[in-house]
Amino acid sequence: MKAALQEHTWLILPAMLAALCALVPAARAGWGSVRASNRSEYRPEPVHREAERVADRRRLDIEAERRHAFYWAGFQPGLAVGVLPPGYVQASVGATGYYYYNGVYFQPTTTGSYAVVAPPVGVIVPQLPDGADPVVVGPTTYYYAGGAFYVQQPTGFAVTPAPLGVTVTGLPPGAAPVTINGVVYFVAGSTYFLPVMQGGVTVYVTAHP
Amino acid sequence: MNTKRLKRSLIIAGSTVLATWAAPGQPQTNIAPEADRVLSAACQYLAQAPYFGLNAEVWREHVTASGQKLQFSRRVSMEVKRPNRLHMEIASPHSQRGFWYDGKSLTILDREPGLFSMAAMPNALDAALDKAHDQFGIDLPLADLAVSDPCKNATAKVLKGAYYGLSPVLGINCHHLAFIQENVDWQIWIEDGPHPLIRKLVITHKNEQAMPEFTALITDWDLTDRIAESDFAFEAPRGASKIEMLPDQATGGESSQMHLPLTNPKNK
Repeated sequence: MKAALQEHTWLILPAMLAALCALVPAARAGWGSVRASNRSEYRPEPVHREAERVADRRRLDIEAERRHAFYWAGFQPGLAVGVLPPGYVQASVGATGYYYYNGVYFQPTTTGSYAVVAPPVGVIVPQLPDGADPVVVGPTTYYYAGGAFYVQQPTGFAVTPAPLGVTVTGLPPGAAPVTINGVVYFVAGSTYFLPVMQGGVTVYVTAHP
Repeated sequence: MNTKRLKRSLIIAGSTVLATWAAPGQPQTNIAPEADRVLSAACQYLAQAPYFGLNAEVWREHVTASGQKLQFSRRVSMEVKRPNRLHMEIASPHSQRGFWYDGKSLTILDREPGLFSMAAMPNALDAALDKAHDQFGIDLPLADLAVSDPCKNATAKVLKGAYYGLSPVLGINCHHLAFIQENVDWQIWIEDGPHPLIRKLVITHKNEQAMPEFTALITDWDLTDRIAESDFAFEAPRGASKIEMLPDQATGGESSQMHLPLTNPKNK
């Protein structure tokens, strides 16, 4: 074995070069100026493409418009509708029932209308809402839509408690600012978000105040 | 096959790859004389003004996961005093942001939630724009117009430049130039006549899926009025809160998990 290796040591240099060339560079976007584009350094292909897509979207500062297209962006806890949207399904957590459609959860009121409620932890729905953003945390992929974090299950997608330290590009509909010990947070249901700026836009990190 | 010959040719091939890879690349720049003349006139016209202001409408293309292209626009106003002052506003009905660079720091204000952040910057626009891009992933639209030598900056990596005659932009006849680089292609439309102002810029990102474009239409130019120093100084609006400006984490395969202290961060 050792002799065979010594015989082929001359292969090492070309092999190294081939390996270096195979580190296919993926340019990071530079937007709005040729100078920025020219400055983008080549980096190895990222492992998590979802993170890169999220980053690009962040950099483009289009979140407020982009989410307009998704059904859940128009609903926040406290709103009420007279009629449920066609295509709704029933879902429950324990003994509590909900009506669900595309990221929005309703419960009947005493007056015959349906009130929007915060996505309940533990509920399992058959499909992800439109516009769900993948958020990778270690080995787990969460999907963020309508202010809830979903994790894939054998029977569908379950709303889970928000993982901490995760960055999202938009707040849940109806999130409100709150100042705790001099620090501004946004709170939606029981999830707190710390606003920070990244890439020139405000993004939100799930946190414990 | 003869092992000795194979060995030799592989060594030669390997050395050639090493030589071309290691040698400092000198791209062959081939800009048509007419294109060069028009671009230089525009840059010189811009460079002779110590202050300038402009209003523009910029359009960015966003490619969704399914490959659909969406265009989103912003109103941009920019005020520059070379070498080290810049104030920019980027606005839409849903989001209004202000950027101030005063030679010492960059401040970004997100007007709607009333949040701002700051970072120290070097005392020159070129270096500050580069630091904003490299360290914070911040790219300001039309920053090419604010740098110290716009022509040299713009053509730094150009491989080929051509002149495509006159086209109307916003009702004004402009010289249409197109440049090819390895990473992007860009086109520029420069007003015909005694005021060679830049009216339109298009940057095509060739290395991204579906080659999204950035487009800027410059509606107003002011190269004569002096801009007050106070325009470049940030003043926090009442009720606005300071938040952290994080370094860019978009590259290198980072997940969305960020390493932040989960206890109360102090307001700096």
